[in-house]
Amino acid sequence: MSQRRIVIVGNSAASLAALEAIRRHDGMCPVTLVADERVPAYSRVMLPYFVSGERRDLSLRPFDYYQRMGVQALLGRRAVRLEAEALVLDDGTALPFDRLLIATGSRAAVPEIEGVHTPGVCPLKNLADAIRIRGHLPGAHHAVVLGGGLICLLVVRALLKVGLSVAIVVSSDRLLSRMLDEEGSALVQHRLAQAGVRILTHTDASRIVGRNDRACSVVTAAGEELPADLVILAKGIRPNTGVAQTGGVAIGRGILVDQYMRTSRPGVFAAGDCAESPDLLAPGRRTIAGTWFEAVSQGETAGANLLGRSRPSLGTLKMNVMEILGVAVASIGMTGAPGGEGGVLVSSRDGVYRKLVISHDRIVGAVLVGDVSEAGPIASLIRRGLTRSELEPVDFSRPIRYAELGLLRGVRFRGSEGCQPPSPVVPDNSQSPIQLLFATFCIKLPASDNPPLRVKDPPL
Amino acid sequence: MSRMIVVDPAKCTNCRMCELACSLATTGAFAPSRSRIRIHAFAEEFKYIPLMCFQCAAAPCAKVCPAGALVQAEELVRFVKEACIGCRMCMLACPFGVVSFDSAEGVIAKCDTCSGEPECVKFCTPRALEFRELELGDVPKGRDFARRIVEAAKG
Repeated sequence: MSQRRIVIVGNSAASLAALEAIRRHDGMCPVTLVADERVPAYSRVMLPYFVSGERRDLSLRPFDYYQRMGVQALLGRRAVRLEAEALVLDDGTALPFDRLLIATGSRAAVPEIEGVHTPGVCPLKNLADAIRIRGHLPGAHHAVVLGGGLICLLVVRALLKVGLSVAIVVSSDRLLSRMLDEEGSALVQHRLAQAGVRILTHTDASRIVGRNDRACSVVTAAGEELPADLVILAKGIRPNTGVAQTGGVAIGRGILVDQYMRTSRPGVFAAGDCAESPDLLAPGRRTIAGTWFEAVSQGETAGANLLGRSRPSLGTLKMNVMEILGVAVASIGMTGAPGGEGGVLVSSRDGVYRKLVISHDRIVGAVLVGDVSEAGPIASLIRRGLTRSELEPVDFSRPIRYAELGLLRGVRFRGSEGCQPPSPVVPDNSQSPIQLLFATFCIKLPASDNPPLRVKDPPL
Repeated sequence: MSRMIVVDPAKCTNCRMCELACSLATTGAFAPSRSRIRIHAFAEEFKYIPLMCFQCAAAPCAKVCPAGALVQAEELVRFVKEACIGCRMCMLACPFGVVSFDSAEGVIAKCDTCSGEPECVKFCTPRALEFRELELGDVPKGRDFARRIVEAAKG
């Protein structure tokens, strides 16, 4: 068999997951990894912890990782053009490929307001941003964060940690409006207010005022002037689709991919923040998840498919989890009331809030605040799309426990079950959903003369 | 072959000594709420199911950990406490819900088989927990157990 030459663009969650999936199946094929940042793979999730000084080492893998993986890593090089059978880099090198994975991620959205380029105004998307923010910390007292999403809150957490007073300016009516429902947001906002964070909703920054070449305040649309030695832009992300565009790959909001992570161009795949992929809960529609979870899962799917293993994903499921000032928050799938048949199950007590969204007898979403211990089992139920009648008599109004699901369905509780992550595995239609749910959790029965082994890569 | 904590729920009496032993060994206090092993009790069915980390061979938690705190090892999913940032992504990734959060320390907690000498097993008088190599018999036995539960559930 002639070996496929694989080129990966990007060096974060999706790329690493893809690389590792490739190496699980094929230790030999030549792989080249291109990334515009000079540093080895680091964790973007940890950037806020770097800003606050809690973590200094952000590296995700050992120092000799690329060598051990047998990968040619071209760090500090930017891919500029996608040609017929080669990827052209900024120094003119043409990398020929048989399979290409574009995992270029996303960049921070920069709002077009006056003074947005003043020193002291910065997003937090990569290591350079984090270093810049750290450079602005000495002597800073007030910070303003524009935007109210997950990144915003992680930044707020970090800034509080280093002793800044923080104000959040958000154009929607509440924080985390796309991750949580109103009650969940209210709990988070309450906790932030307790810690002295000012939250301005329904407004936006209209200009950033600088003095002595440094930001000093933010003027809101309502006309209020907020002191700000530091302004963090956290108004969402934009997929990096530039390279894909030069190669004529179909682009929507992100690079359009199917459930195999294939783009419109044969041999070219995309995964992670830059990809717009089929939505698990809205058949026929695509979405950009923009989460670390999904990047890992898509990267893994792409890696297997790059090698021609035909592994579709079940679909993109938006979910995320975070902690702010001791309050854990998780959100999975849909968070609002479902349209049509369905409803929500809500319980709220002592700052612990739980909501399950049920549509057509299936759990399609959850919001958990204060206690996220059942998040994993819920996420796997949503992925599997099991109906309530199939799960009878599990009581959805009580915390969902794997033990109960297992008790119900007669799953073995032996240690050492060779678990495969449920996400990228695809249903074999000959099995019932319930079998599928547990098929991945149980050891496969080997032929009688073979001893049971931990299943590393179960046949599909 | 690797040694595993093998659970036989049929023998579990819900005495919860495992939870005490685990919390003492891992946190230095008798605090069942901080135990890595949890007994899930279903009083109506008289079923008690001890659950702890299954040490998956391709662990979703280790794949997703953005801090390098969960590391896939040969026989174990290793937890590096110093690296954990408490983001709880592993809790969302684990389909079994066996990763818990230790709010006293601000990091997650999960079974690491006490580096090969699990305390919970030592204190399990009814022998519902055993630490040993998997045997060929475990699988069919597990099947029997499963069938019994299913039949019992049918009434």
